[in-house]
Amino acid sequence: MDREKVLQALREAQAEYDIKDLDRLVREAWEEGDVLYAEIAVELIERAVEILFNQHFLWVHIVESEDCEEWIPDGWYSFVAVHPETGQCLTFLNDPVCRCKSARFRARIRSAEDAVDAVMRLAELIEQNLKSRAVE
Amino acid sequence: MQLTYTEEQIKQAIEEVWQELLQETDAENYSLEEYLEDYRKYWDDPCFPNDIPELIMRTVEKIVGRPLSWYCELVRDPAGFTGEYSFVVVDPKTQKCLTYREYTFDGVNVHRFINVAGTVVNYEDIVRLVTKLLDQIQSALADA
Repeated sequence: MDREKVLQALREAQAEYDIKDLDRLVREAWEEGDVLYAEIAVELIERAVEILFNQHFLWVHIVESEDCEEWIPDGWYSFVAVHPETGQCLTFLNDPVCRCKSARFRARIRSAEDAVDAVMRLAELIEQNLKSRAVE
Repeated sequence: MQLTYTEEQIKQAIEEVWQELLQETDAENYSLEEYLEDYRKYWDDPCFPNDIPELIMRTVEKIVGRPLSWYCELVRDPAGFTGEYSFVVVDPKTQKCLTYREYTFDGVNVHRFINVAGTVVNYEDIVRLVTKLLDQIQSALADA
């Protein structure tokens, strides 16, 4: 996945959400434990991925928390994406090394750089799954 | 693929899975009834709600007859855990989201969902949620 395209997609998503400073948003989400900021950050990442593919997906995301009682975001996020036409899970990961078949993509996002990395890896996984479907 | 299950079979599977979970954790003589009483008292303690998805999905897998890929969200609001569980289930063979469904309220606009959710407070809620998941999975497998 081209890094410049990822940065451009994130900039477009930021403009849609009227977010001027991505790094501050993401850092405050976990440093301040702000659930609202965390929810905005995660939606912004999903939107950036959709911009990259020029397509909408169905999403479930989890803002993870170390402290379940207080629900303070810890900078970890999980994403599940499903294709709206075919019902294919696009975040499906078959890892033969750990013999793990997971439906979700998980990432630690605590800075703008982490956000770029997450969008890139998430988009690569989706691209890979879309291709595997095309082969079938 | 046609799944067959009755309420009795679901209850039997829940009991078998509960016994398996007890063996894995070396917990003895802790009945599901006792657990659910504690769960209702302490569900703000993450240990308790986290056992419920495992119990529900292992029961579903036992009846389906094979492992599934799944993910569960413990639904929260500002006051904390609400008692609601939201499941996304994927067939690891085909990557198809088995909890994906389309629904229309007015016959015109189609709404798409990828999760099946339900609140668990007591034993009957567990049976109901397992049944709901199996009905949805059955329908998705039939469409495949």
